[in-house]
Amino acid sequence: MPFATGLRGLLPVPTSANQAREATLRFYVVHAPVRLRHYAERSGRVILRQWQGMLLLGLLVIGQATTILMFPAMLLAHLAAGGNFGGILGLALLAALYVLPQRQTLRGGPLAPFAGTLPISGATRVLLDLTVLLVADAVLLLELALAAAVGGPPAWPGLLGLLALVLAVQLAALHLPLPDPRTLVRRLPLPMLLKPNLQALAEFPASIGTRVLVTIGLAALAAMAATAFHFDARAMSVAVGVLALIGFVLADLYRVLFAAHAPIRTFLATLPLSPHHLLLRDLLTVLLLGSVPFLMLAVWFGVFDPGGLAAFALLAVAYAGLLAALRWPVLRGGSLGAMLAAILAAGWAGSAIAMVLK
Amino acid sequence: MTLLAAHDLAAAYDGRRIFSGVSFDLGPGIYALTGRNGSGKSTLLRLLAGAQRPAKGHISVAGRDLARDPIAARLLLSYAPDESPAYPFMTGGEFLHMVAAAKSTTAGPIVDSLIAAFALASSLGERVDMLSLGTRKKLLLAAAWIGTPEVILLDEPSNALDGASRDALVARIGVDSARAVILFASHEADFVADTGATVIAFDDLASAA
Repeated sequence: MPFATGLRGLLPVPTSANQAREATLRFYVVHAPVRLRHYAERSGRVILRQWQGMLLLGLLVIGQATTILMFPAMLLAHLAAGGNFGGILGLALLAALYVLPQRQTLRGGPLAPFAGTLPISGATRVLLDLTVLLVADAVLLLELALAAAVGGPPAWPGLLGLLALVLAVQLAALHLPLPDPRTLVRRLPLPMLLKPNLQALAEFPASIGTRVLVTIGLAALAAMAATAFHFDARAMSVAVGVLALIGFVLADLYRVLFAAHAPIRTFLATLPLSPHHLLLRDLLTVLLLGSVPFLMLAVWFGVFDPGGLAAFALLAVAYAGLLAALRWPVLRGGSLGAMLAAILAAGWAGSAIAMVLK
Repeated sequence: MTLLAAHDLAAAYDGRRIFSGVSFDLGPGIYALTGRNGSGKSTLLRLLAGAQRPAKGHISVAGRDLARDPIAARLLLSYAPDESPAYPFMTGGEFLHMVAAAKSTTAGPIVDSLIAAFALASSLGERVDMLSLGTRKKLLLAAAWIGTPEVILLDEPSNALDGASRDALVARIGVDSARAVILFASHEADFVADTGATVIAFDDLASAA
């Protein structure tokens, strides 16, 4: 049977508004699974590549399931009750930050520009985007369901409102005209020692952007916890633990940079450069990115607990040492690199807590 | 009768101007866009197809403004990019099905004839990432004839095609030249000559950045 004849049975040419709506629905039925599969494949690949980190995260969630699952649900139920404008703004910001690093994949990846040339209505495009966003927001949906159970029927309208707000913000973030991060980094007036590495990282805006955002988010969480603990001993312990976690999150950058250097490594060896040139460049890059969350925490403690600054000075040296040391397990640890990095970071956290609390 | 009109088009990428001042009116016929590598031919085709927004200017397809009436305009145009935009996991048939569904139509007998001429039938069930470069190109070309496009934009259509498929494409372009604008970018002088296309030198058309 000719291919077109096969299609003809499936897709009658629309002759009325009703049939046009049916045709739109048919396109949705054909295209939505393809978009979802693309998103699932790309996300699956990221999870597989980061399986050790995901395993650790999974163990953490299983160990502290009630706290980890119920805390955000309670927070959402509180926000749904209204009145906390700052909290709602924070949720909207988080929703946008979640989407930004993966917007290329969420928009349909390589097919998106071609799909843009097809005669599909704006409403169908929004419907397709919402379908993928709802799948991407599966964890949020779970938390909203828990919040609905916690808050009961009075909370439901508010929770639906939060979901609508999140989706609206994410839709906007999906289509916000943003400059290409590669061009941005290329234009930054950076020293040559750092610029090629930052350009190499900018080639992976989704994964690197997520890592950087996670480190900043972790620092913000630690600052909030420190405030809640009134900057007592627990506050410093949390800060140290979070810095260890940030080090673990950033350690994978060594692997990305090592792979990026592969084509040029031999050529660089022919130039009058130190044999440790690439090592130095990589260390400086990770230290630079690691310094942002560290400074956030140091400034927060400095403002609200100036007495803690001396400990932070000591911690700065130890933290730099951790970031440098993490290169070894990541590049030499083979398939267990992430596990070894986690053990190193955990060991460092224990020693650092003992040091700053002494 | 003007089917494809561009007025004062400009393209930019991240604030860097690629070209500007492109204006033309094209009636039914075959047009070959030629020029040096990197001059902006593919960018111009992307703009005309609606795959990229122009930094400035207007495009109309058979009297429909591409920006103001995008669906009506896109119903009347087809675009085959230089590289396959299909997901690697899609089959060739799924890709054609998707394009046909977007145009609310069937693939039609012309697509059937192209599938036969390109010997594409056996590849329609294969994943796109398993197809050769030439087969992927044939798939994009077959998709360009889905519906009743009055403007067909092809980016390097003869790249990677075998002789028989290239001849079939030349013949197909010839058949439709009386009713549609077929504008393609090409570096292959023989292909341009075989189609009998009117040559448009990109450098004469645009003010470079």
